[in-house]
Amino acid sequence: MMMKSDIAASGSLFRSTVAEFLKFYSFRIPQIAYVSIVAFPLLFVIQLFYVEHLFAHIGNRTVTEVIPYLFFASWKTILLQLFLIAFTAYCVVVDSQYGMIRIGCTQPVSRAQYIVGKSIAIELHVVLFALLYIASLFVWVGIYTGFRGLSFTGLLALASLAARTVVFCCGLSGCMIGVSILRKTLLDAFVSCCVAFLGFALLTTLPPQFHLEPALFVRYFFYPIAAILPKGWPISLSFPMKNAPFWQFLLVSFVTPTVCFLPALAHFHSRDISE
Amino acid sequence: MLEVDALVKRFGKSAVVDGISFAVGAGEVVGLVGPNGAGKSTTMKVICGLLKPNSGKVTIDGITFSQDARIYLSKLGVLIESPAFYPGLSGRNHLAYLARMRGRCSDALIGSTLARVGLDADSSKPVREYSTGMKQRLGIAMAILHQPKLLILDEPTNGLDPAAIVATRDLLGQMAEGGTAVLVSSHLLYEIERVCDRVVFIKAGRVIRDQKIQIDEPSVVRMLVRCNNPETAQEILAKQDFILEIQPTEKGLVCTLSAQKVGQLGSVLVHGGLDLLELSPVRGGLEDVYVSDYGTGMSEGLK
Repeated sequence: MMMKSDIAASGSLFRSTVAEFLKFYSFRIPQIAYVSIVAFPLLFVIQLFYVEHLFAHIGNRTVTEVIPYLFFASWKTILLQLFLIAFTAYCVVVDSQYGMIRIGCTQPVSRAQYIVGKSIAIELHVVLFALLYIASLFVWVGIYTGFRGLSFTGLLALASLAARTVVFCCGLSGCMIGVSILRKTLLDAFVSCCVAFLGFALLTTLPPQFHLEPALFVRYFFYPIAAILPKGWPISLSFPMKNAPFWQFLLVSFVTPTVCFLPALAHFHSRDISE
Repeated sequence: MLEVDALVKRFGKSAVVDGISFAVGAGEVVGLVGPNGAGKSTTMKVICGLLKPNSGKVTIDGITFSQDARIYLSKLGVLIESPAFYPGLSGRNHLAYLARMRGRCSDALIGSTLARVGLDADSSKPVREYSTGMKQRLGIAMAILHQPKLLILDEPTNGLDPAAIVATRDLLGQMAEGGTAVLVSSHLLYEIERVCDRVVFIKAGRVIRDQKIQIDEPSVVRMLVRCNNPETAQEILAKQDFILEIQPTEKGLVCTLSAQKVGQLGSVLVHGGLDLLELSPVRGGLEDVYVSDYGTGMSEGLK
């Protein structure tokens, strides 16, 4: 049976999450991000479809067959990932930057509830960003192809791509939350997150005998290349991250941010709020 | 309501708060006074749970922060150091954020709180467009939004204009009348004197004096007299029965006299053919106590 204090604690966590989620809307960052995320694949649409004349190379394909091309081109620029890193760093550190942490930490929530609530709120925004990104790819390709050959199987494949993209983005964001909690200024947090991301990426270049390859989180970012290149260009219907079982990808995407987050949470719980 | 018992907070090896003990009862307004670096803000931060004490105990209604932070903090309203804000957010959005954190977000509550501090007309502006005084008022609004049982205000009148200072004083009085315990620190000793029931003096992290404010009107006052001919003025004043003492200083003559005879002091000098340049009270009360406890510090260095 749930104890009264547990109910109160979960209520505090819920309130903290809602307050933080809506606060970021007051900053107008999500609204600007929604417009930008929808607009940014357009650059690649123009490049692929109008400059490179993609369909002259791959023939008439269905809408769900064309989406991976646009995904590949836009995902690999790391613009979305950099935005998520910057967004996460900003959202975590903005309280310390402006001293609002003094106010936040004197509200009736424990330190853990405060930081976990904030993290959930950030992850919820990241989920929306990732879904919007995939949706915008679908819409842009759909506009170009006239939604030709849209099928249930194709939509399932698209849903699978969306799920994997959401999981990867949340995992990345979770890692960056852990890093940002240790910092107190926006610049420090952003630089530390970029260094951490680079560090994760460099891990994948180590010889296999030095690491457990499936456990390297950022390895999943590179999957599309591994899946696509042996088959030459143009690609078949090869979705990114396909050559790892989804459960394994899910596990790594959960464990890696947890490993980053828990020490940061312990540090935050015990540290003096002096800023 | 609030009990601070043998509180110690060290940064490295130095104890910024070194065994401070005091209490604030419900409906009581207590001033925390001391020079810069005495440990006032650190004490307040420890009470708010922002800093972890090295030893000692702080209880609000018998509950410590470590026992149940949620209940402990639910009783607390805080304005610590300079008020903190998100520059791009409006005043109303700041209050909405805090109200959601407390699960009591209603437009009526936010509106009435903004009206209480006189910010209702500017509530939709981003805080970056606020003046210092408006920011201070918003900071106070954020502290009183949920009608706390214990209100902790660090320098609440910083940057406020005289009307807002009076309004803040009235607000604290109303809060205290409603049963809220108020702990306030300020360098404006005359404000502390007017608003507080009791003053705790802190020096080097220790309580050196804990005294009630005397609200009786003084029977004897000291007045500074400046005129075109101080020697003649001293001769004239020395002949007056109501003058108890005359003390020549660099600024002018400091006369001690009955409070009821202040009016006569000016007229005697004017009738004696002197040009009266200044006739002002020499500040006393809490300021005298402060100076006797702490010295004049930086001002002596400047001399």
